[in-house]
Amino acid sequence: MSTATIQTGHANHDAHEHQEPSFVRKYIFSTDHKMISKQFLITGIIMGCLGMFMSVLFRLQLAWPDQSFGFMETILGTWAKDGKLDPNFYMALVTIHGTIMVFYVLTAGLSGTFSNLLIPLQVGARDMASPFMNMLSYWFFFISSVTLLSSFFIETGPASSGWTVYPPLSALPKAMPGSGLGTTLWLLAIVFFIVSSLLGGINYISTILNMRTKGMSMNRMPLTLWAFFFTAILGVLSFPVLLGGALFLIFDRSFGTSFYLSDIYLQGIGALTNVGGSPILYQHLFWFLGHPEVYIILLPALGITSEVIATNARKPIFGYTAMVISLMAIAFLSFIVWGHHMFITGMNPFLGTVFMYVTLIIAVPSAVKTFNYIATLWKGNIRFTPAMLFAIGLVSFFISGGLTGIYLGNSALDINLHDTYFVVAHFHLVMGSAAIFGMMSGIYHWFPRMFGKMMNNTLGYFHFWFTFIAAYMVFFPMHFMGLAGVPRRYYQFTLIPEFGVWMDVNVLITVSAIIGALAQILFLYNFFYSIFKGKKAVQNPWESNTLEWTAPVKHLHGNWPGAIPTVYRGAYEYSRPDREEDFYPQHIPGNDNEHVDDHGYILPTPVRKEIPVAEKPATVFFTSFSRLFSFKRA
Amino acid sequence: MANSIQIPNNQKQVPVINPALFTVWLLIVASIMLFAAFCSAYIVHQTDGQLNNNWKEFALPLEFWLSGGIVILTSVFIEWAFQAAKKDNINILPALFTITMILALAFCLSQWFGIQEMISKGLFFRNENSDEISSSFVYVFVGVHVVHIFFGICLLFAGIFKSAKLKIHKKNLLFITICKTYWHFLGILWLYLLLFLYFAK
Amino acid sequence: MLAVGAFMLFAAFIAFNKVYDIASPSTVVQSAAWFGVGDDKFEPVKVQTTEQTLSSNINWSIAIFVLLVVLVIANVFDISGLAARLSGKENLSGNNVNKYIMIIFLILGFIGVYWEFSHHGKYTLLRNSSSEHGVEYDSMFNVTLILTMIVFVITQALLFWFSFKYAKSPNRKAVYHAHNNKLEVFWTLIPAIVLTFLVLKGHQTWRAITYNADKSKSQNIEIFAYQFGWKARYAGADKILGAADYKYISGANPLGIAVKSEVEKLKLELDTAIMNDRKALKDLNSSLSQLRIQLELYKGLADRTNVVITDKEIARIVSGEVKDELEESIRRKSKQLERMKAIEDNKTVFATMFNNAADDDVISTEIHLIENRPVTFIFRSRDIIHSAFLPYFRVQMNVVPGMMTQFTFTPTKSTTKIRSEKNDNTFDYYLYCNKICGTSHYNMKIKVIIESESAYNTWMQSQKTAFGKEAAPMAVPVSLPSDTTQMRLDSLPVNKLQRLTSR
Repeated sequence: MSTATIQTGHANHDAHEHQEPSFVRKYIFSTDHKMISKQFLITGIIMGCLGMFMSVLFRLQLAWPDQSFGFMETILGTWAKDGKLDPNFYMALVTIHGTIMVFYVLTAGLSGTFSNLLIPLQVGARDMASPFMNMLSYWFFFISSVTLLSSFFIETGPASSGWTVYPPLSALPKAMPGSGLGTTLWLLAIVFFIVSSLLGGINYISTILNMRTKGMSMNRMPLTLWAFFFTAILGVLSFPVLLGGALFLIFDRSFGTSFYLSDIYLQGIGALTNVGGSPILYQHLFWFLGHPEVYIILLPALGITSEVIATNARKPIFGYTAMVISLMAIAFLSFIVWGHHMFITGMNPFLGTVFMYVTLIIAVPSAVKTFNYIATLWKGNIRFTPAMLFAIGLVSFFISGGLTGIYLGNSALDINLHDTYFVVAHFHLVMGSAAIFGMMSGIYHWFPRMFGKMMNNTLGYFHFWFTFIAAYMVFFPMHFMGLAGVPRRYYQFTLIPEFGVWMDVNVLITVSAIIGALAQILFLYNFFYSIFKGKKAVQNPWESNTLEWTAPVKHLHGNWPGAIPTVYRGAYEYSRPDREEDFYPQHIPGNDNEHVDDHGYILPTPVRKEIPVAEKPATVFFTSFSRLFSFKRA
Repeated sequence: MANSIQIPNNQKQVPVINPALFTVWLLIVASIMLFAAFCSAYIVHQTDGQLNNNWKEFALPLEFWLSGGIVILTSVFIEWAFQAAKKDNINILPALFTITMILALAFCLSQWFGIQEMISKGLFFRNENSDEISSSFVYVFVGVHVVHIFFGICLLFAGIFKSAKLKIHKKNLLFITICKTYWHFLGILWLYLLLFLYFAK
Repeated sequence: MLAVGAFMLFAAFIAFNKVYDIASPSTVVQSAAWFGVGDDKFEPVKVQTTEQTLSSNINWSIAIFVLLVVLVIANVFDISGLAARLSGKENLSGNNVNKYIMIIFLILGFIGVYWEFSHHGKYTLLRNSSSEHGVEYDSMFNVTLILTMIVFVITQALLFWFSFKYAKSPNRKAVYHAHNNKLEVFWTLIPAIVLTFLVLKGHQTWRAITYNADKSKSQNIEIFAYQFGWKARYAGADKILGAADYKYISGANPLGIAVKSEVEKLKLELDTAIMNDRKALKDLNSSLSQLRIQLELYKGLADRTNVVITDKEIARIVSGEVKDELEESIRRKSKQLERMKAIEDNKTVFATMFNNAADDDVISTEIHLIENRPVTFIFRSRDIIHSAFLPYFRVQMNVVPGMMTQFTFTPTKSTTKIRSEKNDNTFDYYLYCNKICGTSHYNMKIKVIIESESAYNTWMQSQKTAFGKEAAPMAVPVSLPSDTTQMRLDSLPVNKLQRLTSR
């Protein structure tokens, strides 16, 4: 019962002897989860802008390889002599763009922001299990960001062996300039990042399991919480493995061991002494993290989408249990499929078969999630807030990008698609764009909760449609480039006559990318303007059910001034036929006659028959499938 | 006030484990994953090396087995301290913490001698001959484990102060439970690593 | 809002402008100027293809499409927002506009997808396999393509159609419908069944490509990768690829083939290099003072470049970096010599490695293969991981240092045949590097020529052996199944050697 006593203590503290903390304690070394989430978000947005700017730089190079851009020389100096990007720096941009987007924006910026904001508020807790660890988590992340960016200011430039930093390229400082000090900084940044993620993830799990308020059983938790929960578990189990892999790489680089090195002759140096290592081992260790990492990125976005779609379609999320089970299945499967990144490393073909089997199984829970989202929209009363638009966009990207995963997960098809633009298109749609859209959806949805202000809707609409269309125009044509065998991470294609036909496609992609990047200015303007000058938000602007909307908007350590609300039902009771309003918040005591079924839903058995079914042809069509399995009626 | 909340009968009470202790358990899980990665890397290299005839088997220095004994002793003392605290026998706690810490330092010392022994046998961390990759692993195991020990010593150090201020007693067992859990984990981890290195051949 | 619209219009206009520029080189200068660049350096890259004009028009239409979308959104919003404000009702105008954009996007999106398939689809390699297993690969691909496109169309259509259909209306309440187990079971089972089918077919294809390749009948060719290029090694008249090791690599022997005379030369080279290093180490102090004198001299000159260089060199010596480098170099070279000596001392290994099989090997900067004859590529890397990628043959395999990888396939379409098929007399197959490997990764390729047996023999006769005595090998009969490979022999791998030779 120690939690209960701690909570009471907090309540007393806040009610009676509350005093304004100093500026530093409040805004910088804050232990309040809401402030930490804002810190994560702002850092994430800054890193995101940098990552996006880098992508524009190398897209310009790909579209107009022989043209010189004066502004590049102004910004980059010797890295772009005569306004033309240096090949080494191109690699560095590609590498740091990937690292920033995968780790700093979509892991820390997305999961860090919303786990921190929503976990205590939605489970009904005063703060995280360990607010101090939470603060450390942010500051390790901050140090990590600074370390990574500092590598732009050294002579040899940042790490440039791809975001996966495969050895031996990354292990041999003489193999390319970026593999010198730049890679050391990269590895250091990643070690800090892993510490940050572990501290955060451990906290999230601990809070969700131990600090739920009265009545908040696991099966009443919003799907956001389930998603954050599985994300944190994935992080805690997989990041240490990357730490192990990174440590081996650091030892190889700086202490002369040979865990990854064997039989190497370097031009200008001669035969190296290292024998007995295996470069493939690094890939195993990396992808054992790397594949769960994909879901560490995607699951929070899916969780946010579930919440946003249900709230704005004014309908219960379709198949809550199925959603939780599919999240669980995806999380579990993600640990045993890492080999599909390595089909053509010369591994045993039998292993290739095994990894193909388990990889393609992931498509099943993913399909269930997609169908459930679509079924949630069916017969809803959809309100197109910008958050809802981004959530729909996520589902669209999830479908488009997920389907191409079926090609790449197939070991046979992977032979010709591996490391081509097809892969680039696939993961940018399914985990890049989809996760960014999840993040945007979350920002628009919970902005009133974070800052007490509303964002401008119309600007949000413009932001969405431009980003959405631009993203499709960037990534859809890339599939065809990949199918024509165009390899990724090529500095330019002019030296290969066969790829000349793709020059204008490269231009199209770059132009779309620039439009997409410009559209983000709308968002930045909207975001920062609304923080200060936005319309004041009401308590529950989206008429949502979950607990976070019951806490006062005012920044308050401990979240609720009085008692923490008690939870009486699941999070998705929208448009209940027995209620006047179309929502039924979790904390409002309900009548005693309701029957709660095994997953927190009130069974509307007598009501369901009143639902007008079998009116429209579409309805007849859909229900006919379910009747296929109902033998009694036949 | 939180304690005045009416709990309806049909609402389930959420089970409470102490979040701090639970956090330590999660840290232990993360640490286990790290060593699992090292061990699988060891096995992969061993299989590879034996095929290519460049994997050297060698007997672990005696000092490592000695440190295994010491680590068991630390666990005994910390458990003793825990039982004493449970019985509110708090006068002896500072002494027990101090003994555990001295033993922990002795553990580090024996690791140091073990490493010296390996160096004297020509088994280096730095790879110069193909066979030394097996010894590199021992250094990694020992090094990363000692980093864990370092955090444990910090805990014990805090424990000495806390117990001297009589802050650890029957009704405040959280800190000593964390200490105990972590030290038992470290002990078991080291014994596991010893057995792993001994039997994985 | 008008300002926003104007801003987006401007963005679209720029985009439009850029696309237009590429289509007509005469206006290129403008776009270069927009990016603040001197125009004199720019030379438009024009790769002549038959599709050039067509695809330029396509970009036009894309730009117009963007422009139209911007206009529609900007106008509709301003009008409807105003109307809603006047009537004072709940403002659903944003909702309604989005509802219609949803359906417009759905339709235009499908048109776009169709357009992509019809215009860019033809550049892809589907239906255009140049190897035997490529046919199976393509059929696997097409089955997956058809199935996924069906799912794609249905799910995207439903997503956007529902968004349109069930957009908010003030006098309606959503249907409370939390779950339907039968429906959920249904849409769990259907994907499961489809995927089982795909997995089984995928497994079949994968097995046909990797497991069942008959390596006994194929010709072995070693593909050697280095930063940044490829070399091919043919077995020569004795049909045996000689042993090779990274320790034997030298300037004259870039592949490190086990040839006695070359190894002796390398040993001498290493000895001299070690001696030079030792001498440089001893003379470090004197060279430092010399550099300082030079620095004073350079300081008098107007040109500062020499000062900077010399400064750096002095700093490197003072910080001990040069000393470390030299010591490291001596250590490395001594170790190499030591290991070479260990091989010599082991009689069995030495005899197997230096059996003169390598003497008649042919090293080439082009890969020549015989049409319809199975071939096994054996990949070896000198420095880091590369990946050999032959898209037309559906062949890809990583090239990993310290690890032998291989790929067996049968090319079926000769270079002349594909040229006539593509109607392009300059077309050539290439093997690309497809794993990031450093500065010139984008230009690491080797030409692959598929030809008839007689053409191959003629070419082979014109080749010289690597270090052999005779000028050219005999015409090479490649069909013999006795082709043996010995490669990558470490210092004492007797058991491995036996494994290799017993094959």
